[in-house]
Amino acid sequence: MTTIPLSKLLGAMAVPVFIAILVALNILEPAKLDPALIFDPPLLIPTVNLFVSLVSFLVAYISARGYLGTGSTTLVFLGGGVLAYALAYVGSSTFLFQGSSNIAFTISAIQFLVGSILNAMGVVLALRASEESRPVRGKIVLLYVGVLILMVLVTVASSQGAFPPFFIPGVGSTPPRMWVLGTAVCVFALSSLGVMRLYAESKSDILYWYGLAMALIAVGLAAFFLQRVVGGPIGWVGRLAQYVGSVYFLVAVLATRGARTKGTPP
Amino acid sequence: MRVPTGISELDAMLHGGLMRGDVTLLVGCAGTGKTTLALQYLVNGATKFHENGLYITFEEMPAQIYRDAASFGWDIRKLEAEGKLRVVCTSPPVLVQFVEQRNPIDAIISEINAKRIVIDSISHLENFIPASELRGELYRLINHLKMKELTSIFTAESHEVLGNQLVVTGVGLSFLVDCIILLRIVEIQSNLKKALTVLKIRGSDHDKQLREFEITPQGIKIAAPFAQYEGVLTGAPRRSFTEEAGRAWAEAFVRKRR
Amino acid sequence: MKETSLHELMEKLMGTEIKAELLRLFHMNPGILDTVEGIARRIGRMPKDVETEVSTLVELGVLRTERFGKLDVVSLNTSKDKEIQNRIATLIEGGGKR
Repeated sequence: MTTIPLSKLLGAMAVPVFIAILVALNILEPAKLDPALIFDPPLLIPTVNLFVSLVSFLVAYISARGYLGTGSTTLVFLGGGVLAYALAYVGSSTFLFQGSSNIAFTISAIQFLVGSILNAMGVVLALRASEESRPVRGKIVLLYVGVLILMVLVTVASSQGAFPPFFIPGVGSTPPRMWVLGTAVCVFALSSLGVMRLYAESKSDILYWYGLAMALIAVGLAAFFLQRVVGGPIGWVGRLAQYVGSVYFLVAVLATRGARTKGTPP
Repeated sequence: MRVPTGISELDAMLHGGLMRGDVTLLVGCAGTGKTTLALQYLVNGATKFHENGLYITFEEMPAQIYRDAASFGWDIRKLEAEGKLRVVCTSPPVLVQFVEQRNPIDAIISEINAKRIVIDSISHLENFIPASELRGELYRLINHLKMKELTSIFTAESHEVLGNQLVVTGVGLSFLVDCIILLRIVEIQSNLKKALTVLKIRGSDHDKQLREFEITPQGIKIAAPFAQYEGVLTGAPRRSFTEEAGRAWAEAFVRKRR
Repeated sequence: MKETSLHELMEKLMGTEIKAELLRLFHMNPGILDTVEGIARRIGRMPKDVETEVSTLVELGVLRTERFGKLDVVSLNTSKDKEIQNRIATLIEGGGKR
């Protein structure tokens, strides 16, 4: 029986630890939070969100390169999903910085949902062992540009008040946001399970860390689902889970180099 | 003014073609396609651009040139009969013999009104001309061809098949010529591929990418750059990090069919 | 060239192995423009042996030489060569006799 390296074990432990912390905070956090517990410097969230965005853009780029090199349609959707995820952070950071929290949360929630669906489609294709075809540059460009256009449209529509409120400061998420985020949480969680199933067959480090990243994204989104005020402890734990998820994305990217050097399938 | 080679991708790399009256050094080891490319330059000149040409060969016999050209669909004998092209087989001492600024090939240049010339290969001069005199003789030959307003291609042999060494002649020929095109054999994933790049054009910009090329039944065809690889010319290419990562990423998500 | 029989003509042109090799070389490669040394290298013979035969073929008019500095450059006399080929054809049609 092969032993799992300590690093992998510790990495996997992050998921139940974050879940436990969130559950505890959700139970313990009062309905009206003491302002001393709110930590919301104006530039901090956009700055740390930048890290998540950049890592996600890198993963989206590598997915695109992978598709163009192999024709694997799985990567078209995985890449599109991660791109949508990255754009969610870009959009929300922009409007949070401007003080428009409802618009920020509307954009991010919808983009998270789009990202989760695209990512899930990629995982399903991978599980179904879909065949590779000749890469068509237009295919990936179309999807990526489509994701970008969607974000622009959502931004404009949200600014014009086309959507019902997704977030009320001091109250928290509204039912529309809960439905959208809740769906995204479930889809990301299922995607994570799908990726871990692929990992169980191939033992690929890339899949291991990618799957954990998906799980932490789901955990982080669940925190946003639960948070009542921007800058509160629940929100920060959720953000931290997603930042750790981004680190796991990076580890998955670095795992590609190690696999090639060893000469074994990654 | 540009002199197109007729190989469209190469002309694009040269930003329109060779410069009129220039001397181009076409360097490569055995089997890289120097003769094919040089012949194609002359055949295209004669058939597409109304520029007659002269092919000077030292080792390869004209009969072999005719046969090799025929495999690409080029009828050299017919072009010779039409006065558009001439294949001359000679020795280096004859080529560098100048008497009162006249050279033995001058009569042929005038006879067919040649505008293009190929010398295949200039490396043979090293076997006949002392090293101390070689640069001077080359310089005189180059100037003579320029005076005749010929756009010249000299092929030259590089002895390194693979690896990161490049030595053409020991006399600084690369400084005498106006343009250098390098042909190399590179190993990519256990396959030998041919690569072409323009190293220099005096007085003009050029494509600086290393491109793969093939010798097809129609002649030289230049394909895409080796954009996804680094270190191709060193003989030990490797994919760029993102290219490697992309492939590894794709392979990770490929589920083996049961 | 004097009128002669086919046999005599062929004897003059290809009476020796080297002459035959030279004719074959120049007919297959009419663009050769080279010194005796260069030609000898191409047919794998010694320059001394080739020089005599080249002189004979020059006298016959099949080949021509031109002096460039200290080099004698040999090439095929295409017009004369054609004339000789026609002459051979005529002689063959005429039964080989004058």
